[in-house]
Amino acid sequence: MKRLVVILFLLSQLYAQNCSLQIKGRVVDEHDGTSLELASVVLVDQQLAVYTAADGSFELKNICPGSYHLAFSHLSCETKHMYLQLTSDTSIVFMLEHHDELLESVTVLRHKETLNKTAATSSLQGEVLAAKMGENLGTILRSISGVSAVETGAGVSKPMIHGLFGNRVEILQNGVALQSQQWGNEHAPEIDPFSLQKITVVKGAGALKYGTRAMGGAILLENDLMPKDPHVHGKLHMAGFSNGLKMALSASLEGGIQKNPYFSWRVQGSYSKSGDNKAATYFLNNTAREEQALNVQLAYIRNQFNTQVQYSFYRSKLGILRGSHIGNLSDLEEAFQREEPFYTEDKIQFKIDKPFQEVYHNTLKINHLQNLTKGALNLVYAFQANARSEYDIRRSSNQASLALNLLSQEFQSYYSNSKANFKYEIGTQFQSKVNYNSPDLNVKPLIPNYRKQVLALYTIQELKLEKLLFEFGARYEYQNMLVRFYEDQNLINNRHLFNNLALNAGFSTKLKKDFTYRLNLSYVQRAPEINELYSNGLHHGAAAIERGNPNFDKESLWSFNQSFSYLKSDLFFIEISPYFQYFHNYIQLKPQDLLELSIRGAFPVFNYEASKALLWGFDFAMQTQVAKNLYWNLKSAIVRAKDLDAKENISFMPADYLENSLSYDFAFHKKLKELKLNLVGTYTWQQVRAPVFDFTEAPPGNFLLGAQLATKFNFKHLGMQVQLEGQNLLNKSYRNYLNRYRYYADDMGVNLVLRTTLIF
Amino acid sequence: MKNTGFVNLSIKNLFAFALLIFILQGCNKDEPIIINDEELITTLRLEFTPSDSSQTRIIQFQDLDGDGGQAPIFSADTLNANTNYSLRLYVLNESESPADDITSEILEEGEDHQFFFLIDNALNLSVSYNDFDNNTNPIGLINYASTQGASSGQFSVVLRHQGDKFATGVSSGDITNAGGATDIEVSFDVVVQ
Repeated sequence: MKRLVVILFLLSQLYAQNCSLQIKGRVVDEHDGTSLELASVVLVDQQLAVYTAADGSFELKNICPGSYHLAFSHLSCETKHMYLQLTSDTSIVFMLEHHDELLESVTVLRHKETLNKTAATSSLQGEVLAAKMGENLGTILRSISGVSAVETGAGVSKPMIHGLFGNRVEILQNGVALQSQQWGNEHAPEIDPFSLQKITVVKGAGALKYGTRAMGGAILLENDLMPKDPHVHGKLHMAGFSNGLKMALSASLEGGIQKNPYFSWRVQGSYSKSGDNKAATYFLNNTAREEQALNVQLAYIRNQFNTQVQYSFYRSKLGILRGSHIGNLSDLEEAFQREEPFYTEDKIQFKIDKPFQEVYHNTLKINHLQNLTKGALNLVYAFQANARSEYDIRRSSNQASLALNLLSQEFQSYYSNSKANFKYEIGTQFQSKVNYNSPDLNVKPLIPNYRKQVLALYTIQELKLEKLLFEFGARYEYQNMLVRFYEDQNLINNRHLFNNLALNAGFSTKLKKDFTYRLNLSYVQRAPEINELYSNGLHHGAAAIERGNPNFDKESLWSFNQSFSYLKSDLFFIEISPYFQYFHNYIQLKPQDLLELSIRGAFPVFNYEASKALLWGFDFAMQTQVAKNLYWNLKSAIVRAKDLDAKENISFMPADYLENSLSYDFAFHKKLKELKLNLVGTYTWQQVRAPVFDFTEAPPGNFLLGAQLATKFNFKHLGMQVQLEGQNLLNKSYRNYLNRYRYYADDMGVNLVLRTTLIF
Repeated sequence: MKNTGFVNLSIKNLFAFALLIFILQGCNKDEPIIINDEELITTLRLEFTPSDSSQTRIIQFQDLDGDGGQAPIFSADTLNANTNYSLRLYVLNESESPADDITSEILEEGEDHQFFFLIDNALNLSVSYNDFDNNTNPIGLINYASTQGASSGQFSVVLRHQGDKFATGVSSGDITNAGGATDIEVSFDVVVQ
């Protein structure tokens, strides 16, 4: 009651004041600063709308003092909001960003501290990202050329960049590396994409700041910036999938505290549940799954500093295709011969039976940024706890067959400074982790318990001369790993020390107005990980005996990345990024010419081996305007990988593909102006460069058709986006070389998706 | 100003808390232990008892240290030609003492288990089931075996877990449609004299 009186009092105050204030401003393109004509500027609270003039300017007149929400939008730009407290005449320069993902490679990254301007980067954000919601991270990233996914069915998907994944790609959430079991093909990253506002992929070894494990690339995940608006706003995402009858929900709320304008908060939670997926003609038994996630953020932001605390929780439970669980080599061979996998049922099931995986991940992060008289200092602390349990069909127990626990902590501090044309950052990172097997499973663990500490120092420098931008980086890492296990009743303590060095130099230049060239040269040393050193035993899911080699030395990479891009406004865009990656001591799991006999029959033996290797290829993307409002996109990526010692192809490399899409924008149609239609056809060739040894031949080429229809509505304080998507519309039976289920079953059949987003 | 002081203090607290966790991490949860692998099957023994009660013949697979390590030991007595046998199977974990009898476990979960016998055409040996689970499908722990003329060849024993025991041909010993995971698969060189 008291509050109502206060509000009424304030309102009467407002009306008493003179309502002749003005908001003047200009709307410009964030990339090149060009003025945007016909951008709409809406004063949401008053339902007052104006369009910008040819020079991007606009003017809103006769406004009373008070607090307002402004919405800016432009053709092929995402709508952006701004909160404003109006006390006097105000002028604003507002930047809008074109979000077409093909144009992403020219995107200047939002955060000042991210300096990788000479490396090839691509990002997905805002509406483009929202249009993929409900999918997992690996699937979302596949839309970027040069990024593929190593899958174990639809539930488990690991991102792969230029043919490298797992131990060679680092995933970072708000600057902190995700610490989880990332070495196995069936270990998916513990990330809830609903919580993300932006995903950036740095391809190649240019991202020194993120550690030597990022030698193949880094995936940078970011939440939205903390709100400046004290009012409560929120987002609600809902997605329904016909395949698996999956539904996914996410809700987020954010705001400030009226009493203290420096505080802001955000709470986001999501839940998804899917039944068995369906291939074109049959159900994939026991592929049901569920996920839960929570993300809480608090921030205290004043001029001189910015302190944020974030806690996030993630849990998933994933069924593993029942027909892919096999006992030995003869079972495997038998499974290959079948049209439909064993245990195929004629109806969908939501129950998750054995075999399945259950994963928990917790992250607590504290971040403090202090603006100093010169430059800024950043301090970060993060604690992560990860527990992964994998349940197989066990003869005499209901316990998991593998249960790994990882506790990790890290401190980061870095200082950045920028003068007129020179920027630099210098930083140090300390990381400590403990990884152990749950002791009471009564199964020989595949990897032993270990502790690891990493101390790193790095610097990144950037020099801007007229049309040239130079970048230089150096990193030193000291790693100490202590591995402990029993071998024939004897306790073994092995210590591994590694000193890793990474160097990086590059430049980018605008040769002509529309033509950009980038070059990045890197040298990176990576210490072998626990699975490469110590795997020993039967990898149940893979029906193979895997053995590491504790004598491995560091892996080193020389990489050479280039990128040519030509951008002529919205009319034409083309980018080609060729790369070469030469490895010394490239560590890979290789089949041995022997079978090991046990009472369960014969098992193939795979040893980790180190050899010289060359990976090269290119990413290609093109967009052109064919007719008014009709755009044609082409995307492709090619990877070639040779083991130079054995003189043969390296396994598990993505097959060549060509993606063709046509999109039509109804922007100039009176009633349907927010409607967009997109048709995508992708042809994937057979992977003819697979190594000689594989259990089965690589699957034949296939053509898949997809479509998206999207629109949005704006009500007074409510924005709504609706999207209908069709995947594998022709319901083709096909198999994907990078999906491990290809040995047993077809990939997913037709899938219709309806997504709705409400923003208020 | 007051606010700033409060926040700075809370940051200090948080970092102190962080440091505390760092120290606590030194706990001993990651101490390795000697694993007693309860999934382990070391021994498959086949006892052929002739109908005339003469000497029992034994065919055996034994791998006391499990997967890897020492190679398994195969042993096979010669079977007599033109003889009817009662064939019983024993499955053991002899890495423990006393040995763990897995045979009774298989019998208890009879609906989920079935042995299959794969015999070379050259080997004059035939085996048929003589036991049943609760669904009157065979398990294969107790069988009839009979030999004809002198011959030799491979005799394989397969134990399938959670297969489809109702599928076509499975109850008569045809493994083709059985599915399931293989718990045991061992081949013996057998001589009939």
